[in-house]
Amino acid sequence: MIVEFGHFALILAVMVAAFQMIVPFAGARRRDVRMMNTAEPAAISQLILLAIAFVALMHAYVTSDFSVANVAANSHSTKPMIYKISGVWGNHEGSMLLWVLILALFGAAVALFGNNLPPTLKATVLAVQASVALAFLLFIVMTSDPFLRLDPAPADGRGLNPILQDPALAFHPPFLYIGYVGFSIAFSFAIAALIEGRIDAAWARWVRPWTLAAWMFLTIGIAMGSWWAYYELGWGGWWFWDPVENASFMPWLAGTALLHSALVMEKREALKVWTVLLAILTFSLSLMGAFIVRSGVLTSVHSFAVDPERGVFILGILVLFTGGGLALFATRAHEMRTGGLFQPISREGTLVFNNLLLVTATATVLIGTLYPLVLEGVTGEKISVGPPFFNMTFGPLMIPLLLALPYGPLLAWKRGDLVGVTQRLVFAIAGALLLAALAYAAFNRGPSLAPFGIALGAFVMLGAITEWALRVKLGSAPSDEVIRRAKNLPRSQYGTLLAHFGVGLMVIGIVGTTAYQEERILLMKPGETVTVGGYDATFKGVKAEKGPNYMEDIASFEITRGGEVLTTLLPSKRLYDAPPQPTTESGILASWRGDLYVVIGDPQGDTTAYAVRAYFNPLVRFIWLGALIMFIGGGISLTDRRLRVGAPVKSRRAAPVPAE
Amino acid sequence: MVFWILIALLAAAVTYAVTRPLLQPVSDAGNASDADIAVYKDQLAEIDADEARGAISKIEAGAARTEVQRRVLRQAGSVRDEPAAPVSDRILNPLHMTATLVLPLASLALYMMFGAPGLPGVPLAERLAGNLDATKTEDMVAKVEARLRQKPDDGTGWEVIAPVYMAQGRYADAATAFANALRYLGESPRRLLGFADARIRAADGLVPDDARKALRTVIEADPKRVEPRIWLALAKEQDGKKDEALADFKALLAEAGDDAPWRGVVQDRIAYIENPNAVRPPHKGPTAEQVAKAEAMSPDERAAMIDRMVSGLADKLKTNGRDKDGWQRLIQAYQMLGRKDDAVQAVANAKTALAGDDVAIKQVEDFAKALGVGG
Repeated sequence: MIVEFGHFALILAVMVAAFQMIVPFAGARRRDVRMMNTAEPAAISQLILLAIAFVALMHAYVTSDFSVANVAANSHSTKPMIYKISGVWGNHEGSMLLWVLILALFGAAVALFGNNLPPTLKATVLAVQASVALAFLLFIVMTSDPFLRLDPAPADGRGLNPILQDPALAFHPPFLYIGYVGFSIAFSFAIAALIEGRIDAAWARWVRPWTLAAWMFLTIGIAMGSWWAYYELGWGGWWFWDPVENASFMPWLAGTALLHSALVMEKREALKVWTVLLAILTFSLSLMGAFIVRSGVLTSVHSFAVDPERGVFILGILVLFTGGGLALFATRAHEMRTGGLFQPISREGTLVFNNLLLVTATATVLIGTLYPLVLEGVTGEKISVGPPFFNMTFGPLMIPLLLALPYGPLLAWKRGDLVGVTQRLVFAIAGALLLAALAYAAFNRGPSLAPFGIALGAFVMLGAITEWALRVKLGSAPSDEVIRRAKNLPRSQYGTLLAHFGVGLMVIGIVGTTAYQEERILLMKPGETVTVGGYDATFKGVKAEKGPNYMEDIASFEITRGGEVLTTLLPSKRLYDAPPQPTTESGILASWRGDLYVVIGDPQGDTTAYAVRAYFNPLVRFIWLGALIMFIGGGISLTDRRLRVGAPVKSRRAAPVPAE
Repeated sequence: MVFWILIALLAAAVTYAVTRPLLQPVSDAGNASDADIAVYKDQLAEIDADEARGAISKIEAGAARTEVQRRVLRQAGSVRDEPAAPVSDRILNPLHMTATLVLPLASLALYMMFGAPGLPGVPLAERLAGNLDATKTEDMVAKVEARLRQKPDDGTGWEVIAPVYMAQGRYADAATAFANALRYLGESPRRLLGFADARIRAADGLVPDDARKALRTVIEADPKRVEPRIWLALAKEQDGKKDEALADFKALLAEAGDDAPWRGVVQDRIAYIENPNAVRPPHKGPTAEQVAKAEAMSPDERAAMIDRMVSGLADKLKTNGRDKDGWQRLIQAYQMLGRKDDAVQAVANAKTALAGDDVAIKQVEDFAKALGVGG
């Protein structure tokens, strides 16, 4: 009965979304308060109804109710409880339900907290949000209903893809979805502004924090996915430019651009039209991500829903919202008033530079992801665009971006002083170069550009520290004033500092592990030793063990360094019961210096020799640590609910140029 | 009934909440420029606060203030809020009525299209507690499996479930179950043979090493057992040791009485080894080709083929009833096809045909019970 109740709640939510799309929208056009007021209870009802549906489905998973087709297809009675729960969204239907639930959550948040929004804007935003929800709800009910039943119920389920039975993977989709769907708020605000023909002062105040929240969760979601790929896939890498990874990375890049342009807009009322366009593009890329993952147009480990009917439906949603949004933009954008003026060398200027580079980088990734598809569609020729393409195109775009990054926060609004800022950054520049020299001396191998990459990361990190030191007047003011200033520094600035610091840390991690990775692939018999990254790994043998729902062959490696025993690594190969599918579990010894990473392969010929892959990945932890710091920085900034006003410096020189 | 009351309550509550504002009298809407001015006022207050805390200098604060004030002026100069054109009650009342009816009724209609009202949930715990159809093989299997997960050293449990797995065609699971029964209950020819049989079927007719080991153990204890000798001869043939296999098969044939049920199998093998091109490889059960053909057939054709195979087996058992495995296959086939009465009848026929061999009768009975025949 609980299942059917959830099913009814889901269908009722469809009707409520339709109501919320039509009535408040018509009310906003007629400026009729009563009709507009229906948006609020409708948005909240939608959240409650979808929460009921979601809880009902989760209940079916937790109690292993195999009369629900979705549970029977994706769960199994022996599965540990945490994967029964994560199984709810570990499949196509359930993940779409989570998607609309999060969509409703954001809609309800606008309804509840949007009291200071102009009423017509609020009603229009909620109506647009409801139109997105309606499209996806219809998609669910018509092609992907998670509540379809089986009678009689099968004895047991078919099990969750074992590769998905992992904590990091189990919980990264909700984070990714909060990210993707969070951008829908920016989208709804953009469409509402275009429909209204004006951008209210409250607009940017609203869009920036919501974009920031979405961006934070997308950041941590992508990082979790990458971390999972690192230790579970057993390839020793952390990013593969896999189409599905790109699908989440493109909205992230565009969202990062949006975040920065929304900042300019909030503080300076500039870049309005551009921000609206970016908001449309960012959410369109999120929808495209959904299309790529859900339609199965690309083959990858993530395509668990290979179904043309669904693909066409989602393509329709994508065309409707992207095409509709852009068409609306084309017809209405010129009516919007352009705002604040600034010079090229100014904080606005660096943020425009940031936006240009990020959008170009997004386009690069888009081309690399879609070109093989288009080519195959047109000529039937299959090509694959691998990491070399992205390294050649995406990489160089990041260099000017990172070089300019420390300048941005130090330049004044409206008009800045490039030479002055460079002088203030002299410690950061010197420190970065010193570190590059140290890296070169320490590794003394690898690509000659690698130390430059390390210097770039260090420059960004030291730039963030320099900015803090300057703002609190470290070294130029008495210590009690420094402490007072450090306390008074707005949390939003701490957030920025941390996020930028995290970027630098991540760059160092990426460069370190890419340029200086050591790899050994060999056959080992028990008793043999392989040396990698300064560690000696001695193969002790393989023994079979039984897990809760899998059998595994666990290899044991004794790790020593300079004769001292550090630990024993236990990489394994698992074979799951249902469905019977093998997975690899890598053995990882983590340290600040880098990770020792050991994977066991198949036995060779006579059964005592095994294929072994051992890697040393220097500084690889910095990648995820950087992402975590970016996440925390975003969170700190988000807690700062104060208004953002950018204080310009008085004009001393030439007249400013228009922004747009 | 409770279900219908609950969804009616949900629909009514949501409809009421969503449509209520349509009937509520309201005062002025406020307009967009008011909202803008409010934001600018907040911003000016914020600049004051920043300056007081020393986050921005006095000069910066002054410049920022000037800018915001400029925005206020610009806003005030461009007031272009369209006048409100509220919708009259003449339109709103029907709208309210329509929404009140459409929301719940359309939801109900859609739900009747997609939902399965009245179908109870079947949580595993409830099913295991026996509230459901206990005669269903799958439920019984689930029950035994659940017990074995709690007590994996329960050899009897494994012993019971192993032949059921065989009957269901889950040969790999059956092999595991037989292996566990062997481990906890000790070796017996029946378990060893069952294990070997399961392994061989799981390997699509190839005789794997562990199966050979089990078969040899059976022969050591009882050199006269025929089945393991046939399998081992087949294993030799599969290894390419045709001469040895031929010798073994011939020895078996020499021992076979005229009415030995396996006589035909051995003769076929001998004929095949001696002249591989002349005869099609004989096969126990349907050959891979037959199965592939069945898969390409329409459901009707397939059902007809299965019927033909089943009645063929039944006819064979009528002429030679002392074939315990044959009876078990027949009972299982009837049960899987849903011909429950025929299955019950087959059990009775088997008991008559096997009269005298109490062990075999007991096995057939256990087997039938495990499948849920007659329950």
